[in-house]
Amino acid sequence: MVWRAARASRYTDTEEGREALRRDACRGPRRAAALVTGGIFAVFLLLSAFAPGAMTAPLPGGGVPAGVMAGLLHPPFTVAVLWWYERTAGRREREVAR
Amino acid sequence: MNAGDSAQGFALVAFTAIVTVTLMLCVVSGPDSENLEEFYTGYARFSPLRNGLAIAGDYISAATVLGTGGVVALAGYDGIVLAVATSLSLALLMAVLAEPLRGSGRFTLGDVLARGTPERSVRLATAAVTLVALLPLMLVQLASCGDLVAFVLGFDDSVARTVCIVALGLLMMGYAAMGGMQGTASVQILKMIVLIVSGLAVSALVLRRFDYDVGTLLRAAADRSLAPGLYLRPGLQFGTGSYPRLDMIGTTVTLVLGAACLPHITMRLYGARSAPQVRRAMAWAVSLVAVSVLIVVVCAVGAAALLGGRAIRAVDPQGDSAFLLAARAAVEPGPGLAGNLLLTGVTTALFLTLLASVAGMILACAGTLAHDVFAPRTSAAPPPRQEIRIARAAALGVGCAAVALAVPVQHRNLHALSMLSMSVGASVIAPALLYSLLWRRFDRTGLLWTLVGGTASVLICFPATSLVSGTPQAALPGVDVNWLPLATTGAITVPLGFALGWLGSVLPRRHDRVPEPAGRAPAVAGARIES
Repeated sequence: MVWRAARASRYTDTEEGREALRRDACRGPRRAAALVTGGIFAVFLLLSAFAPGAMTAPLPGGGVPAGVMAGLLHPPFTVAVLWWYERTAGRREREVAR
Repeated sequence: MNAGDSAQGFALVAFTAIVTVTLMLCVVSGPDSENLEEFYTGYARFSPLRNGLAIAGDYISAATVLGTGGVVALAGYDGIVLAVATSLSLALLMAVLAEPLRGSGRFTLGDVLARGTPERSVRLATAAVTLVALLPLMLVQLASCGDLVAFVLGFDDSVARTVCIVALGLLMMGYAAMGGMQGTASVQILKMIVLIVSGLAVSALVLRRFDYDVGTLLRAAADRSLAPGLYLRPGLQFGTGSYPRLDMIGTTVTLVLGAACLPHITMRLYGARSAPQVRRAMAWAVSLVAVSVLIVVVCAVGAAALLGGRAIRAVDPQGDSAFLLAARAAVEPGPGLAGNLLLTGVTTALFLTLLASVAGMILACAGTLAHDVFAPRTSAAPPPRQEIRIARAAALGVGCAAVALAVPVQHRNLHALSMLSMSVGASVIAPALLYSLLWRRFDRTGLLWTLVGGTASVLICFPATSLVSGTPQAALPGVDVNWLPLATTGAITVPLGFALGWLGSVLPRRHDRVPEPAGRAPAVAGARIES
């Protein structure tokens, strides 16, 4: 927070500075959203390619294979992460604007 | 009148209604003849939800609904991986590139990549890449149009299919030329609403047949598939080559990087007014695409469970009709009025998907030809009215070329053409956009190396893959130039595209180390966006 305050004092004078602050505020959630959604898919893909046995193990209950369930759950999970990013980035931008 | 005739009658009425309504939409919501923003982006007037619908509409093409649906129906697990990759691609575009893209270019990919560099070579190379990336995908949509109309109206005559392709191609050129991006956005919004509503209804009917139990549905699909023991395991689609793991990873990464970077998708983002607006629109778009992808998976698995792999393959070797077959099977034993309305809704959704997707792609190609290639020649800064006129003429030219090429490829395996577009997107456009928006040292040489070298590598390697020749399922089964032991080129060309851009920018050269005067804009687009 200290560095953010220091940057704020340097940059709030110009339009470019305010834009840089806005980008700074959104960068964390943006990177987190990209890494979480992309990272989980990368694990899913690598397991499918190199450890298919783990992905075909049936889950308790309905007996749906773990890999198929992971695939079906990934799009809704991605949607949840991106709406979180949308909300968090918007909130941080408003904080910076104040 | 029997049930089949009744369904065909409904479909014929629906097709006519779609053509009338969509043409009216294009004319009514089309751009002002002097407003370039309205013609090229058409973004500013809509709310984030409508923009999200338009972006999702551009993104969900026949390659997803028919192509990926077919792979899911016939290959199970591997198809689900591809469907999830399709959904992830747009999500990553939102998280990584959407904000930097906003405001980095005016209308075309050339505007983004050539910002700060006045050299015409960059614009010409970008225009060529746009055409190479989108033309194959347009052929897929146009050829699928012929198949869809033939399948729904129940004829199997080659001449009639060709007439369908030509007539629908003319219609799509009309959308693009009259409506511009703003007019096609209205058609995309209509398409997404019809697709999601009818798709949810079919999915619910399919799941009802299996007591809403996903496990029972999957087991039934596996039991009736062509390879019951392998359907729910990785490898049915990618396991036939010499390097199955590399094929699976290469194809999936190609789809993740390439699908959302194609120019007709990124074009929608340039005109957004603010960062919150583009984030909200993209969040809606990703949500709608995720729902569409799940609908495609449920319907395709449902087709396999209700009809069996053999019946799906008998209609189409690639399983492209799985979505329609699922709808037909779900309303059995007798469609009735409600069933006929649902079937009409599904065919309407597919028809709109094909029509609207091609219109967006024609527009992206016409835009780059008018804005990056022809407009600068006519004068220093041609008046908007003249540039729109050039773009409309270019739309007609691109459309005619696409129709002329779609006719001979209509009976081929169209997956090869889809993958060619995705490969160009992943190996050329993705590295060019990522570097130019996120890496300060990326310069003109690196950009040209990526654009020219990446495209050349795809065009050299792709014809040598097993997707094009050397196997019975290939696009050219009678030919064998399959010297590359891979299904797609992604494993080679994607790293190569990134490496060329990096090398071109970091290798020392004789003339480029002159310090830039203070205050001069960086050579390439996004250096100021993210430092």
